[in-house]
Amino acid sequence: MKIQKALPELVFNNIISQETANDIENYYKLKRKTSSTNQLLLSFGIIGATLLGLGIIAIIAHNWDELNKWTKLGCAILPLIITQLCCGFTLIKKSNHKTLRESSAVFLLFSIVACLAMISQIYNIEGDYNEFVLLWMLLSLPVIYVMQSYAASILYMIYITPYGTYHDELNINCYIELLILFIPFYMYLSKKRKTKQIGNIHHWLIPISITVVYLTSLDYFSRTSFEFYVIHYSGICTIMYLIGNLNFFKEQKYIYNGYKILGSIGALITLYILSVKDMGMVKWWFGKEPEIDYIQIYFLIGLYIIMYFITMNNNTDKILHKIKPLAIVFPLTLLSFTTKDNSHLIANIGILSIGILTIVQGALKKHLSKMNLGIFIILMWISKKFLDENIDFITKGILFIVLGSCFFIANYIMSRNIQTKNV
Amino acid sequence: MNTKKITLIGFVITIIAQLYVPIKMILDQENTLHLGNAFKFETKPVDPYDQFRGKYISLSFKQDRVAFELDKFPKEKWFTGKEVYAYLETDKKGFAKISALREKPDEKLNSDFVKVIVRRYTESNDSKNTVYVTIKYPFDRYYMEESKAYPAEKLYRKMNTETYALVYIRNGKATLKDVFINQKSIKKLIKEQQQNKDSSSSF
Repeated sequence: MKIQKALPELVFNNIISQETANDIENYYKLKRKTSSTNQLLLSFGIIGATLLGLGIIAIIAHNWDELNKWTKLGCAILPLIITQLCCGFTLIKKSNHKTLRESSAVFLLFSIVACLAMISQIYNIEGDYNEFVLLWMLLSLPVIYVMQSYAASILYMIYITPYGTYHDELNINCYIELLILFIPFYMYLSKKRKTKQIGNIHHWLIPISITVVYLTSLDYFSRTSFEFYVIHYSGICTIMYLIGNLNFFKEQKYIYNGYKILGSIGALITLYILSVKDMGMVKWWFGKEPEIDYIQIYFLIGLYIIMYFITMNNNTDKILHKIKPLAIVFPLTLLSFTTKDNSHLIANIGILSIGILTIVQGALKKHLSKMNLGIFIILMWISKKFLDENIDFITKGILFIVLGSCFFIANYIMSRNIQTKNV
Repeated sequence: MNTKKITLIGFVITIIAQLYVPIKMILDQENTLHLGNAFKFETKPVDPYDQFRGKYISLSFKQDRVAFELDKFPKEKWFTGKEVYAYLETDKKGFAKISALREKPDEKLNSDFVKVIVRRYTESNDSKNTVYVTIKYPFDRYYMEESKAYPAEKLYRKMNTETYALVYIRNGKATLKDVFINQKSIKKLIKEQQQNKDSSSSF
């Protein structure tokens, strides 16, 4: 409960005087006003520096023929030196001025790329787009650490992701190295800014980046069949889900936990795929004779086991609650795709078990959202079954009405229970 | 040492690295332009686009595929992406021609060389002992002003005549100076063409 809302009650019960209540209210009003003004200034500073930087790059890309070589070189180097001086000034004199620090760091990032681009233009230096981005990112990485700039780190993540998706073994290795070099800053950022929004963007950017690069790299290393693509997808999503269940994220708002949200969505998509009997055209699109790269699968399994035990040990709940239902999706996918005869049966039993376990955990813990997730899994499975089977419309209609009613009744009973407990 | 001092030292190192890279790039190119030897490479241009560096003419060269004897060029050694050294000589028409390919710089060969990348290795259908090595030169982009790159490509297609790139080479490094169509710089040709267009439209 917010303290301002509790003030009238405290005054009414003579715990604090009206004067103290007024002082408290004024203090929070002033604090809120200052904080929102600072946030606004910070956002404008970052957006301004980004737009300015992009504008300069677009102007440079025009390639001015009218200017001679030395003027062009001056135009390339001078902005870089000026922004470096700005950063130096900020570090020495205004190290606590967030807006100045963020905007000068972002501007320095763009000055580096502008400088490199102009020199490449003037001397027609070879190298494709990816090599260019790699050099830019390597020169920009220290800026993130030295200036402790969140905005620069966001730009860094945004630019290394497409770099990693370019199908080349060297690119993928470099992407991994660039990501590893960034991890210490990410850890620092996560510890320092647990509740601040800008720090939490990375809890979304990093899982998205890893998932995108991992999945696009699969086809490069081996011709992947549909089944193995699903195995990889479920593996990476389940591991994300487990990371999202670490104690660290329990202190954060759910919306900032990109690992858990992306992992859960991925696990649900996998469950849907598992519930379908025949994927027909989709399977054909992936090719029939895959060259399976088992090393990657073993790597995923190993990582999954490590993450599972870490999450289990982190968790202080009772044994029933320690089991994370969506974390079962990866072993289930492995089992159903590697078993030849009873794969569909295993998948169906698995989906039902995950659904029921989620409902039970939700009901016992009185978590309405968790219970609804379980119901959703069961409903998804039943709906898919009845849409696939040849049943007349009236029966299908009645079945969906019954399922919908069950959904409402379960929610109603649970809400009542929670309300009674609270009273 | 306090955190601020460490940060400042880190910042100074960052600045030095950020300035070192572009300055090294400039010095390398200037050295090659001033001290290197000029070669003409026959080309065929098109105009793609780079997000940061703008429009450029992508050059592909006639002298990018060389025939060699299989014994000297076993497949295992000449894989795609390998960096090798191309030794150059000038043909009767005055264009650059590859005389030899080496894995390392060869002091016995007394001619200019450039570092290239193996793009493809193909065995000949006709002769069992012949292989073809296709290479990628380190000067396949010629940056042009936004409005001039497309007309440059059109001009090339229309004229369909002798096109070449003027490249300076020194100690394995190369700098592309200009692209010529019929002995005339492509930039000058486009400028003249645009001026002619402007004067005819003003009448």
